[in-house]
Amino acid sequence: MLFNSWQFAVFFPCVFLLYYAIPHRVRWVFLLIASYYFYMSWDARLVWLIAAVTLVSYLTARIIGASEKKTVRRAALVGAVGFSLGLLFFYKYFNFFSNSVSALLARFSLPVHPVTLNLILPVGVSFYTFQTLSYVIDVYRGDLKAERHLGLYALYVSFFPQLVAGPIERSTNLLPQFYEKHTFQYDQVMRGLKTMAIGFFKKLVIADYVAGFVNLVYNNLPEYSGFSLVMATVLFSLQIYCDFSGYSDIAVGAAQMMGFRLMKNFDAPYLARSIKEFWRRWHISLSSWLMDYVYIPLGGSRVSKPRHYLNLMVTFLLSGLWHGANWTFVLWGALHGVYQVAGNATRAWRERAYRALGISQENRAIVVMKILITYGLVCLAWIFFRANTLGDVGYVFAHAMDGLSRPLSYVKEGLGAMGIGKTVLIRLLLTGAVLWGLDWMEKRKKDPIRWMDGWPKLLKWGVYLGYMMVMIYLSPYDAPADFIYFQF
Amino acid sequence: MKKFLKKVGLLLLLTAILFVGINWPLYEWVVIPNRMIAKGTDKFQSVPDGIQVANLGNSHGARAFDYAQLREITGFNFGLSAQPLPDDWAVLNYYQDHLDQDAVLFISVSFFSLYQDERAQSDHQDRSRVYDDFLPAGYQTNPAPDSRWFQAFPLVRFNPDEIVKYLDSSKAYLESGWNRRLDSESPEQIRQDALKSYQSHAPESTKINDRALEALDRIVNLCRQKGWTPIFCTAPYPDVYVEQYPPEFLKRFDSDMEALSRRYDAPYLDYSRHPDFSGDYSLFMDADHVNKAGAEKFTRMILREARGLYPDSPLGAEPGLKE
Repeated sequence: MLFNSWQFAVFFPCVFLLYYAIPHRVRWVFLLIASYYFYMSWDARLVWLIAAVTLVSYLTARIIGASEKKTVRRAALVGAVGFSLGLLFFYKYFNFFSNSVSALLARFSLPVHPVTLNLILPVGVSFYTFQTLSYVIDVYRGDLKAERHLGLYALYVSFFPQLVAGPIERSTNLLPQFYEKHTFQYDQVMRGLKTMAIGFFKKLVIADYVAGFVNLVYNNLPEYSGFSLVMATVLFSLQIYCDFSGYSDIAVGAAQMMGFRLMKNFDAPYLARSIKEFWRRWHISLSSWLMDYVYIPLGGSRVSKPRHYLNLMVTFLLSGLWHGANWTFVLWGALHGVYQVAGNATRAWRERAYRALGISQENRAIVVMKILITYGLVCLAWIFFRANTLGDVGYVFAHAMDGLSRPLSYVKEGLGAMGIGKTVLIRLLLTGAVLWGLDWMEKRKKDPIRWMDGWPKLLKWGVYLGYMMVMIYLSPYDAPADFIYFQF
Repeated sequence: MKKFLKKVGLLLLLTAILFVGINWPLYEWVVIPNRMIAKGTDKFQSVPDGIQVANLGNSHGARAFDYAQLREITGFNFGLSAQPLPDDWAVLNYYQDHLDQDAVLFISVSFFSLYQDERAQSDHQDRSRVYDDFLPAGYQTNPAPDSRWFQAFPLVRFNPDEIVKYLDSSKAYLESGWNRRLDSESPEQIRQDALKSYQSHAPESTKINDRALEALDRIVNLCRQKGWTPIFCTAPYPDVYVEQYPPEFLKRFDSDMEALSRRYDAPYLDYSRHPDFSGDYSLFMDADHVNKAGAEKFTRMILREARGLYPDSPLGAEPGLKE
């Protein structure tokens, strides 16, 4: 069930209330049942998959934890990694691999009919396989002891707030929390509820609204050119951010209402001053996972420059591939890798340039310039992410500047072709301003929820009621839209 | 926990009050009335008593009968866009007490009316909801699952997009395009429009649909019960529209209408290929509907013809219908 559905509106309050009503010692059972029910609401047929991944990772970690022999420990680790990645490959990448090989052979005049499988991509498979992998690797590294309680471990894997689209939780953070006795804390619960409220605003009022314009253009590219392509890309940057960070907010808030602390997954990424900083702020759980389990084991930056750059490229290629079985995602990842490499390679030169010009990098104008350049580079990469095919990517790059010689009509015609008039622009600006305000406060380490808690009661209630009316009037009333990251 | 539940409960209560307080009046006084104007159902808010001549039908009937020209007798057009025969029955059944004892009732039948199952149309659900604004769910033939709820509490179908759409009083359905003239289009465009209309109307089968027949049974039985005079009719069409239909189909339709006329002992007045209309595109607003001028002419002609068939009917009181 989607977070933005009537089923969840009934499911979560029931789970929340019952959670605090039942004794602590059986809460894990209740949450485990609720989490599996949540997962099965997507597709009950594939529940065996998450159960299998849970069991295999649990057993291999127990073997690793129990054995002193390096060969046994390594074999168990390889088994766990092979099983999880094998499942991921089978369900997610088999057809992509098969079609790619077939296309490659065809180029050498070796026509091979690709073998494809008609498989449903299990919801959340990319997330929970990575989550179990991190657990097994951490046990292997000795960072934590193997969990003996199968039920609690199963709950760690399937915990419903973060099951289908993250954050990819580390066992060192989440597992111990299932042992804690959580009592109802008013402030914590209210905070969780307000975090969920922010998430729903981002998803329903912003992401789902702009999705209409983005899909209009990107699903019918030949009918659009010029500023329409630029605007659709900018709106997609807004859509994917609000969709994914909105989901994360709802997940974090829901968990918080039950006393659990999930990791922060987004930290005002579009206010980053560099691509490197962007990746410290965007999908933090994935980027930190890749850093800890791919980049650093490859040597990270503590190797020769060429090797360092190779490590960056490998990490970002994997990031792209993780997002989807399509060359557009791989190229998106590769582009970010190139950005990182270029940023690293030119850092010293840029710093020399600033010094030579006598400009402080903390100068407000420079900071704004850096933020805008970073945002521009990120948007350029989003073209690859959103486009349905490589041909579409080419089309966007080839036609985005059509008509730019007449700037005013370039913008006017572009907006007009998308049906974006004054009302739409006002709505985008107002909701964008709210979003920007929230992010700006996050960046300044100022908690917007705590800041609002200090307001007079009447003003707070005015905001609460205003929020409710905005949600009622501006939420879509069609069938609930999926979250983008569910497809990964 | 109590404090939390109280706060959430209070917020939900205040939201509900605000929501209902703002939107119920908005729906009752603005959205629903404007929607009825746009859909052409606003006429049902003022159905007169003592109706002496009336017609049923889909948009062909809704556009073809214009009683505004009548001075002495009361007429009412029960036709609605895309209204199938079962819904003709539903509307007539609900408003039967508004018809006079000797009323004349024209049962307008289009080429496809007898053969289509309205429930097979892709927009069937949406179309059915049009009736929720004026026809109680219990009278409807295909009420939506939430029709009763909607009629008790309109906010059940709250939709902000609809509020925006119907905030402004829309141009009345009947007026929109009724003054257009088909002869202002190029011959090629007219042919294309006719083809498009045919393609959207052409039924898949030429077997009289059971629901349509059942509806006709009920309509005619009610007429006999109430002492009304039922008359079958088909509104005028431009020849370019009629030409889209295969000759075998038209033959079949004619024979079915003849059979129905005999079955119900009610005359059938067929204007679909009438020479006074067929080639005169100035009387049509598009490829299959008469315009206002065409409606005035057709109404006069068919009422005159009906008066000729039934000299003792109320139609005799209308001076304009004298030969």
